[in-house]
Amino acid sequence: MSEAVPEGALSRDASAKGSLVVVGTGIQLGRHISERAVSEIDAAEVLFTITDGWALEWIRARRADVVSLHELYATGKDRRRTYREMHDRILGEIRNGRQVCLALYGHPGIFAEVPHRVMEEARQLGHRVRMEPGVSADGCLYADLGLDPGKRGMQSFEATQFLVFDHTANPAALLVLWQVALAGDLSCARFHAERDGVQALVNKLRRWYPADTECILYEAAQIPVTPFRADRLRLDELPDAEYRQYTTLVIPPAREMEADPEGLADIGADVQALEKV
Amino acid sequence: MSALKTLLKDLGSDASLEREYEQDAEAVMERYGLDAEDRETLRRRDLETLEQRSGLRITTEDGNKPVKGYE
Ligand SMILES: C[S@@+](CC[C@H](N)C(=O)[O-])C[C@H]1O[C@@H](n2cnc3c(N)ncnc32)[C@H](O)[C@@H]1O
Repeated sequence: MSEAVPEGALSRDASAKGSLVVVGTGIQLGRHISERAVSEIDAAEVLFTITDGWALEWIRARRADVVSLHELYATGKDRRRTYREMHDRILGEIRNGRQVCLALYGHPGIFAEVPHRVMEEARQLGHRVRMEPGVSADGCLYADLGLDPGKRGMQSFEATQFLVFDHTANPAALLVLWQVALAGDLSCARFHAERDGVQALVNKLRRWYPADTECILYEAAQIPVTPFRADRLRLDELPDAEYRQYTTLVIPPAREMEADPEGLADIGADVQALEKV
Repeated sequence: MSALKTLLKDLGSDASLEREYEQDAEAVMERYGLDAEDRETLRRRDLETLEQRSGLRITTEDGNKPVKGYE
């Protein structure tokens, strides 16, 4: 016995089959991509990428039909408009019932507005969505700089957001500021560093850190034969330093942690108990 | 992919190749068929040129500013 199928149900079913998997290609091509990410790239019906030209070429050698969304970026164009366009292209294919893969640089869920938003919307529309984690810039940082985020705790902010919102820094913990070259750019249209923006960031950091605090300008190697960058300089030297779009500012713990008597009292302990920790 | 891009990609994923490269870079570059310019760039570890020749930096039409795919 066959059940009556309401008109339009078939096409609705077909479109609900549309799915999205988001994968990361890592920071260094070849070194960081997971086996699963490669196989998702191979298996997708529609493959979108937002990567550099090198990764794109490597992907294109496997999949000639890859669609690069990178072309939607332009200097002077508001990045939020670019993101909207990317979002619409990806969601359109999912709604058409296609199995879509989106491949991005690094970890695809870190500072990556487009994938999070598309995933959320597609999920709400009843599509299957998933993200495969990738190797991120901070993942490389712990390895290269020997800084363990578990040792003193870690704070991580987008530099401009840290500057213009009421975030506070804890100098006893590790601080990581992303997109430092874009510090102070509220237009979201700039791609280079400006001294005034970095100076404003330093002014804010001075609320918690002395001028001579050691900072690290970190760039993970994206090419195997070249070393990573870890330039150590004083906080007040930052405005005159050199930045690239992929420079991350790292401030290692600058003072000792202090005991919290209230927290200790709540577990029936006192400061002496910390000597054994 | 160009010989340079293939070599860079393989050096990233293949530990023995990287060891071999550290011991005898010339032999590896020869085997991969790199041209004279790429060999020189690699010998000098010239990051700017490597970034350009590998396609890591994409240049926009207007203003010649390099733009990374993830920004
Ligand atoms: C939009 S975020 C993208 C992060 C990326 N999804 C990831 O997983 O690392 C861009 C920022 O990531 C950081 N970043 C990206 N590549 C980097 C690298 N090779 N070394 C250090 N930091 C990097 C920089 O702070 C840069 O401004």
